Amino acid sequence: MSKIKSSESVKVVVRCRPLNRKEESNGPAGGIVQMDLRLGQVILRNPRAPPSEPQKTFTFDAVYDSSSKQRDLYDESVRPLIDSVLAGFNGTIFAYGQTGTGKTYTMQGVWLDPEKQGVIPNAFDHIFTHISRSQSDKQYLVRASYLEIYREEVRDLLDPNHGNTRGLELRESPETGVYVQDLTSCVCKSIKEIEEVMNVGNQARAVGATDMNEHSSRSHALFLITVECSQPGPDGRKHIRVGRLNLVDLAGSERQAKTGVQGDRLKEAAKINLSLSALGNVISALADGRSSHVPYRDSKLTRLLQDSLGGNAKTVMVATLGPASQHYDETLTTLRYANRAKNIQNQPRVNEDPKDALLREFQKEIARLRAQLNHRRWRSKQKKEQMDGEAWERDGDEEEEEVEEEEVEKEAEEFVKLEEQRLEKENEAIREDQFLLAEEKQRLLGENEKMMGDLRKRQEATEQLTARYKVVGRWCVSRVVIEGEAGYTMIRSPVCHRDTEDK
Amino acid sequence: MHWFELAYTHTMYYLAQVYRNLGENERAATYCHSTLQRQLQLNQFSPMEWALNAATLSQYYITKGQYMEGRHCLAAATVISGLAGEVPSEAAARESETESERREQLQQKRADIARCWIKYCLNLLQDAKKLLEDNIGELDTDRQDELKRARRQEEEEEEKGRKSALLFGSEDTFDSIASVEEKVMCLLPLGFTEARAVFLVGQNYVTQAKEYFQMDGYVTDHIEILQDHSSLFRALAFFEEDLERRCKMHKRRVDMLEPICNDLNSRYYLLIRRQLMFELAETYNEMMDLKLTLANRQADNHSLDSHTIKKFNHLCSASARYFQMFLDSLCSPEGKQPEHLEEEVLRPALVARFRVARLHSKLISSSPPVQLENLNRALENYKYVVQYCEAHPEAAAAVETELELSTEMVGLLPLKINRLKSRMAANN
Repeated sequence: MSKIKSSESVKVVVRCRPLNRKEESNGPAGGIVQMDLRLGQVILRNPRAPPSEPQKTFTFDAVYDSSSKQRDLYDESVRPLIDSVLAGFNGTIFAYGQTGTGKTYTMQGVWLDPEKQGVIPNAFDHIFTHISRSQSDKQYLVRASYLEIYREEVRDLLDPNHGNTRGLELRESPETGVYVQDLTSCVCKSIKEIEEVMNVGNQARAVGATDMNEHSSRSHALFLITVECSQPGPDGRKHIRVGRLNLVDLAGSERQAKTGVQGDRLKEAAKINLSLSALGNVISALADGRSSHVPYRDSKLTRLLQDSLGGNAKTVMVATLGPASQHYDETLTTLRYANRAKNIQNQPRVNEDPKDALLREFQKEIARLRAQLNHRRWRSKQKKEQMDGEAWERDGDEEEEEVEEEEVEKEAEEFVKLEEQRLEKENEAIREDQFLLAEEKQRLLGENEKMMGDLRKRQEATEQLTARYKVVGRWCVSRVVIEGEAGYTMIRSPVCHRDTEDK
Repeated sequence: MHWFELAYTHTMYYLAQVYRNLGENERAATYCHSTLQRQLQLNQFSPMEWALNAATLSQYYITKGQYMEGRHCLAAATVISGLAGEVPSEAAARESETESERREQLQQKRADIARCWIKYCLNLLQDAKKLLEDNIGELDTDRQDELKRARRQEEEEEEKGRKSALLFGSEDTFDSIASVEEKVMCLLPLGFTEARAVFLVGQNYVTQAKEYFQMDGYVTDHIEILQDHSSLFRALAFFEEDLERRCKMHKRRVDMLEPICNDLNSRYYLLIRRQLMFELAETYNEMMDLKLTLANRQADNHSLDSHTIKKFNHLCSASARYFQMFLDSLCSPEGKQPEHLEEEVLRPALVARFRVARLHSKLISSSPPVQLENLNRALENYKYVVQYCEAHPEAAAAVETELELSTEMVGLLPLKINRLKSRMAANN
């Protein structure tokens, strides 16, 4: 299947790490993940399946295999996003993957090694280099914030009191979009400073949790960089552009308690949620249709990031995989989530009212214009023949002239009559034309009705998409279903037409 | 015994999930419904949670056109959410954190239920419109009569349906739920009076929802509610026979949406602004058409007075202006037009061009140079449609009719323009 061109705004890239020594020694079979870099495809082999079973193929915007370089991933997939942030737009990078799949290596890497720096240090580099090279009339201000969303509460990791206070409020204003009220932000003038902020936040995250694994696997961490640029405009006044970069580390996926059928069955077991408190999730999934309102629940994350669905905001999702066969199920899950994320339409559609009355009006006008055109042709022809007639008239003597005049008059009358008849014929032709137009109109109407049916379908699809956007605007852009046990970190999956992997 | 009942409830719930996973949504909905009912019967529920679930389930029913079931769910949601108690006062909220949180929660969830009701009313009106409209989008009176005759039979069936449907509630709540249900119909409205009644219910819920989802704090939600309100007006306008009143309804829409559109940050709210711009453009267009029809009815000799012309031109250019704004929003930050239109904006963009063209050719002016300017603008935009579809053949399918008409106009307009030019030259 050819590569699906996703909407410009959301990019999904997948990266697989190399087999580690232990995994290599485990079996000769090698990894279960194959990648076709050119096509952007990931091919997954089920280690327990018979050879006859077809392998699962997924297509993404870009795939990076075990030999990929940090720099390449950054330049291809992330650099354009940072550029747009510097131009005053919003951008979001999501990292998703099981612990041990190289998520941290991809996002952080080795800070001090230019070859092994991850996305985040590269981004910082990019930003500060750009600033240092910019023209002197531009003034920049870079601020960093670090927050965590745990059990649907927003906690400020840079606030020393964050453990004791209530969660922070999300608000929205027409000028600034969604923001977190009272969030601490630190001004950073260098890469060192911003790194420091990150460390402080990371430590704060660890302190709050009794069980770090459990905690980090259930909370989303969001590192937020705001870049303000002030530049004097043509009117002499200073114009300020603000771009926002969100770096999101999504809650881990590995803690799903697997119920249902395991083993050799190829169909993914229907995950039945045992807790009745998740009834809401089930109902929401049903109600996700056009023209409906789903009272969203756990969506602090998605609300905060909803302007990364903004259309001129760019979003990149980086999904990391492990190649070992014992992680087949998790790998498949990650790929499926990433696949769904790819299907997200960022653009809420414009609802358009097809106007058939308009079409009728047009057809009338066109007929009128055509008639005028034909009338002009007839008029000019008449003038020409009149002039010929006049020339003929002058050539007679008087008596003859009289007779001839009469004759001419008669002929003129004849001519006029003929012309009238001809005109009548032409009118009839035009009418017939109009009749044709009407037939055409009927046909068009027939087509229109079909088109209306299509349009209605399209309108329904539009409304569906609009609703979907509205729902998506509520639910995380990654559209990943993380059915938390308490049903809290719920990020919904879309009801897409293509909810299945490529066959 | 209690454990057994609980297990039965859980089984319903598991079945709902199974059917959902199998894609059998209808069955899944029935089992969700049953689960909710049992929760009520056995008194195993938290009011707000239950109410939200019921309200969400109503949205499923609404999208399937099952308004009776949807209404029942919503009525139950309203009644049960009342069981959650009074909203703590502002003073109490200030005193205690838990009270403040509770206040927040209750208000928000009740506002969410109101939004579900809005969708109910809106969908009901829109489905009625679809049933009643003829092929040019006007109310088909024959169909209306036909449906009115069939209505009697429907009402009987509705009664039967109610008896067999799963009813929510216990002895205390049956009556309250029924009384909420009585406030709005569940059959498709067939005329203006009925439509207006549904509209008013919807409008009432708009007011409720906006109390919580205020602009400052909940921009996106607030705007969605306004968009729904605008759609309510638009749907009601379909039923309104008096053109003057119809026009006033559209004016309400404009007054509601225009200030918002201009207030929003164009970078962060790009997509919402596009929706608003397009809607405003279409609404102004609608008003323009109505004004013209009204004026033509009054004046038999087709000459319009200057006041009407001015009004007409104002509406015409406002519509063109918003379509143009929409088109401009597709440009890059440097102001360059996109060479390739993304799928999601393809049709709206080409339709917008088409409309701008038509609107310019409709502007009334007594000054030939101005007329010429307008015709040239019109031609320019028709040409764009034709040329874009030539360069992108796949686009032609999206705008078949508009393309055909644009091609015609590209052929015929130059004649009109030339005639005007020669008249202008002759007069000089």
